[in-house]
Amino acid sequence: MTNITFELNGETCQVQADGNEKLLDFLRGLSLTSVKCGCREGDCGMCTVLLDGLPVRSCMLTAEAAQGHQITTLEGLAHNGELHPLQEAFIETDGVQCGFCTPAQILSAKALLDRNSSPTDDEVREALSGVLCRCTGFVQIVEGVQRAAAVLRGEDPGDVDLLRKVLPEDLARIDIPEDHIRRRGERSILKPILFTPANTPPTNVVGRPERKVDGRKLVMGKPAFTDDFSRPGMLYGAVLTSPHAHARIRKIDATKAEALRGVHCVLTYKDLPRVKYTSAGQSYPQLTPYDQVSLDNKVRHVGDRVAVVAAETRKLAQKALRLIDVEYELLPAILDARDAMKEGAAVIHDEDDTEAIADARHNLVHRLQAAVGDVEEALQDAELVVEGVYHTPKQHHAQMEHHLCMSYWDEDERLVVVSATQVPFHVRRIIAPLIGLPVKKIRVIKPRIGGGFGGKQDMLLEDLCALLTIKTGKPVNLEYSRRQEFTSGRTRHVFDIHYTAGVKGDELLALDLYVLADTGAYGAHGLTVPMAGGFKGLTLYNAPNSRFLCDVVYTNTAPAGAFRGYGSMQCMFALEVLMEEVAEKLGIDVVEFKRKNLIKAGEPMLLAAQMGEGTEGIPQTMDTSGHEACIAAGMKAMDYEAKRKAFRNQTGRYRKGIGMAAVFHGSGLAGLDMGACTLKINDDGSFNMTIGATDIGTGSDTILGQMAAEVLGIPLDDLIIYSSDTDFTPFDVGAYASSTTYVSGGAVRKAALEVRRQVQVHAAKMLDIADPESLVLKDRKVIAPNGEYVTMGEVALSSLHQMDQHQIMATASNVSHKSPPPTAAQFVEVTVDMETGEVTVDRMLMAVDCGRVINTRTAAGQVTGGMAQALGFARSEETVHNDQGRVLNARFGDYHIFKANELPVMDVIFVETNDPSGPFGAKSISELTIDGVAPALVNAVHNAAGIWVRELPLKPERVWQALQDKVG
Amino acid sequence: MMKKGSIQKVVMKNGSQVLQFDVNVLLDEVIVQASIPEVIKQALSGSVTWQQRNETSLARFLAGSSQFPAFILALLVCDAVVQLDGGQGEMDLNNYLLSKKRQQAAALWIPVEVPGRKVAMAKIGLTPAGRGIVIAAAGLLIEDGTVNGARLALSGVWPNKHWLSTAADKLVAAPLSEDSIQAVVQALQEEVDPPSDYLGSAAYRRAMAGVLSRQVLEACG
Ligand code: FES
Ligand code: FES
Repeated sequence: MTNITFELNGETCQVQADGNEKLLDFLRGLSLTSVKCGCREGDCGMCTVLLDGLPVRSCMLTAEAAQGHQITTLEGLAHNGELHPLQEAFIETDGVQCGFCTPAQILSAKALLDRNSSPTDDEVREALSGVLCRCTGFVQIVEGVQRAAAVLRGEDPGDVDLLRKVLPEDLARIDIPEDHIRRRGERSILKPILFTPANTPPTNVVGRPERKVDGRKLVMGKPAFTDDFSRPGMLYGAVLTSPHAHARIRKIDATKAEALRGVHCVLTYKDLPRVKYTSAGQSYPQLTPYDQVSLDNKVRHVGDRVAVVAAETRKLAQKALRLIDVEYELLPAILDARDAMKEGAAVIHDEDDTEAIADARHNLVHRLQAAVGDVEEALQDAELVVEGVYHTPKQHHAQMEHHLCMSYWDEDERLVVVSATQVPFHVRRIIAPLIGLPVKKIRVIKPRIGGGFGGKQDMLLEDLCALLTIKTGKPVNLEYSRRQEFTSGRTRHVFDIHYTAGVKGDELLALDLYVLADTGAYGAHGLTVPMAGGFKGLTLYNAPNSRFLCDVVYTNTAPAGAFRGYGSMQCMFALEVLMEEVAEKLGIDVVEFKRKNLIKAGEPMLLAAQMGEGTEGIPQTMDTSGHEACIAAGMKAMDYEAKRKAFRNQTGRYRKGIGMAAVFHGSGLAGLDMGACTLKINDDGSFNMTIGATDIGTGSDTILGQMAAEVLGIPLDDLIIYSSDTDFTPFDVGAYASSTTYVSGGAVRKAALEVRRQVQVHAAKMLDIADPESLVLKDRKVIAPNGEYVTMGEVALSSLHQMDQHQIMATASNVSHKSPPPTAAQFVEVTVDMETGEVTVDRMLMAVDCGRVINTRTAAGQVTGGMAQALGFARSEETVHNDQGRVLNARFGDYHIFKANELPVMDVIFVETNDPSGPFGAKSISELTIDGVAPALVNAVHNAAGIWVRELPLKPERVWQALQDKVG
Repeated sequence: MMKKGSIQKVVMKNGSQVLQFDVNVLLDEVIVQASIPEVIKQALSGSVTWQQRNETSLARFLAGSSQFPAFILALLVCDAVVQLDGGQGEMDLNNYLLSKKRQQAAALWIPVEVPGRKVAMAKIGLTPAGRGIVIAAAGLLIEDGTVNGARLALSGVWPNKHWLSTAADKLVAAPLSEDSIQAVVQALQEEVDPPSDYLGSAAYRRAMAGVLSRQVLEACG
């Protein structure tokens, strides 16, 4: 131990520390929870602090580095509760989504502004390039920094609202301001534009850029995430994972690990009963095979779980893992889905206790089929038949916060699991049989989550963590390391897609879709992801003759799971490139071809009745569509037609191109997803709102609050929102399938309407008014037609203490038998280097119809963040393994997600529609935003260079090779 | 003896200017020098983060330099020199980096203004600011229309530590021309021995070595 003296947030600090301890752990040990850990290997920047005013990564320095220096963490920025202008600005612009990267972003920005009070956007991006962000796409972060810079310079930063315009009936007259067309390639950040139909009813809270309800705690770095909480005597768990892709465990001996002082427990398959489950966090009953057990005597991918330990320190836990002797019998591995069904291929699930695998001997988990019309006949009848074969990559979620959880026994001897999960209620149900406790003995709490994107829709660690607590009686913290995230977490399904389109005139007669879907070693989402992809990949054009066939196979690779886009993204890519190829072959304008054939409002979705997610579907109609308006607005803002023509027939090394894709998605799972909400009044007229919906950084707590506030005539600030605790909040399926705004929002609105009714009834008595329904709730008042009113606070005090005493409260739940599709048009502009194959994305614009926009700021952040993630999928991201199944790029440094200084200009346009079944007319937004970039990018590259690249991602070599092939 | 962490500007007899950096200087202090060549600024931004520049001294860089390939190339084509500790003289950076047991360095000298010298760098990466798959940098000394010194440095095209191409020698003692560049590119593509990995195959790297080298040599012309 050494004495370390340094200045911490302006105060002298003298402490004894292990000088070799990482500065990151040292600072977190001092309860500085703003210092986050995203990788521990210098790749993510989450651990950034300021050392003598300059940003450094605390995981790359030892505690000794602090000696004699000034260290500033986010905790040092606010004074007496007053936020630093950067903190304030990040809330205002919604530069905070999940908030996990926020401390590091703000500190880096502070160091920049201390050095340069008027940075350009590019200088801001360069300064932030050491801190990754998976949520925002950086637009609103850069805006936040510039806003704070203006405040610090004493300037008025202006408002944060978007540009509001009326949507004209004649779309040719849609009005895009000249600067939004960026004719000279300007790069400055522009406000999003919102087009609203003239007859839209006015609202007070809904549709506003409200500040995130938990923004303040996030910009202050207060304890909010799972790892920020600890319990006395807490042990640290660690998971031993398989180094082999496919092997049987011949012998496993944990004696040496158990003998290590400070190690409290080691569990292997020998210690646990064999209880089958599937990790998919989905509604009961999950329809995929229960093909996992907590610890098995066989491993099916590199990174599969082998053993788990609990020890007094993280270091000790790691040491114990190294002392576990495992003898493996290696088995042949299948690493490519195309090999999985071959005769004689290794059988990945040869155990006899897994049911519901379609053909285990051929690694076929599911064979899915659906059809309308007669595809064969229609293809015969077609004047033009076009086929396309496409391949999509194994993208990794790359959320900044690892999978982690903490478990402990509470004072009532109930097991509490605090988990970074998107699905707390499903986790409770799934782990109960695995840990041998009834549901009533388990409480799952979801604190703030540092990004999920679907990756935390699986139960990955909670069973093992709980088992360690049960065995030791002690609190346990268990997490995956960043490398384990890549090998043991979940990924996007790799799809091989084969489309055949039949066209007569300019009409799409038939669409035939075959998908070979790779679910990896376990089938968790193997049924639902391809089904969702197939449904959307056929329904966007809703051809009268459509057919879907899909083989879902096991491979010895990391299991695929839920990932924003959920199968649709893969199919939309293939479909929207195929449509471009068809139009080119027909020699007609691709936009006109798409416009003509896209599904329209009022049309039945032909496959909806057959293709639910894993179950039979429900017949549905497309009630609203913003496609026409989105395409019109986007084309105008991109100057699409002029550019498209100008970019044909270019010469020279650098060539420009522009591409478009029309996309749509869903809003929750029809007839399956359920959300619930409870609202109750407090003495001062404020309300507690408890919801099971899980805010994973999307801002759902805020938008759901806005809906309740709108109905109750109160500011958002009068709601105390608490989400996702299986003991204290009503049920919700969780954050997936783009369900929260639509499904959970429906529950909030119902609960709020019932509370409003109760308030009206009570206020009517107070005001002696005969018709309660004539009372209006506005500005915290309940107002009678004659202008008399009582305040919400007076209603609360009266109802709780004085007259007809009762608790004004309501609980409502919501299930919808519809899943209204939000629609969008995605545009991408590129420059292709014909000599290297490098594709530079110059601009991305998405025109989005998500029904009514509930919060203009959070919605815009969803769009830019979605486009950034999609750009990774399209352009560079892919988990790559060698021929032994070992992942070669299992760290951020090698996997490489787009950084602040790499992202192109991103613009957002909203075109509102009013969905009849959505709360306030809202549909979903989050997943839609990821669907269109890949096809628009490939189409833009075709426009520039005349090549079709049908395999993603568009790595430079892949494009270069296509260029070489074209030259011949 | 330079003072710890100091930076000095020295004007040489031939009129060129050299910045002398004590090895305790951080990379971020290098990049903010107004006179530092653009190619070095380029090499220390983009894929190198501000945090990395604040944590890495020149001493640390010289001790284990593989993390910053673009910076190595930029220094090589700028003819950087290592001043050895204990008055043991100077060493060309390339020789220093290739030496089996690197001696302690006291300072790094970076020529910043050399009459007639032109430098340029180009790279191809997985993403715009990603680590380069192939990086090429050139430094030419052109006096009275004749190339009197030429350095062509590449990364991503050799399996081991190796940066400088001998093909560049073909440029010396003649004017820079399309033909001479073509000759270098041709020789270079035979000289390189690229590895193959998921970022780029050997064939691609070899082709890029040619494309990027041509690009930087033309930029120096
Ligand atoms: S935790 Fe330090 S860089 Fe990722
Ligand atoms: S807000 Fe940046 S990682 Fe989530």
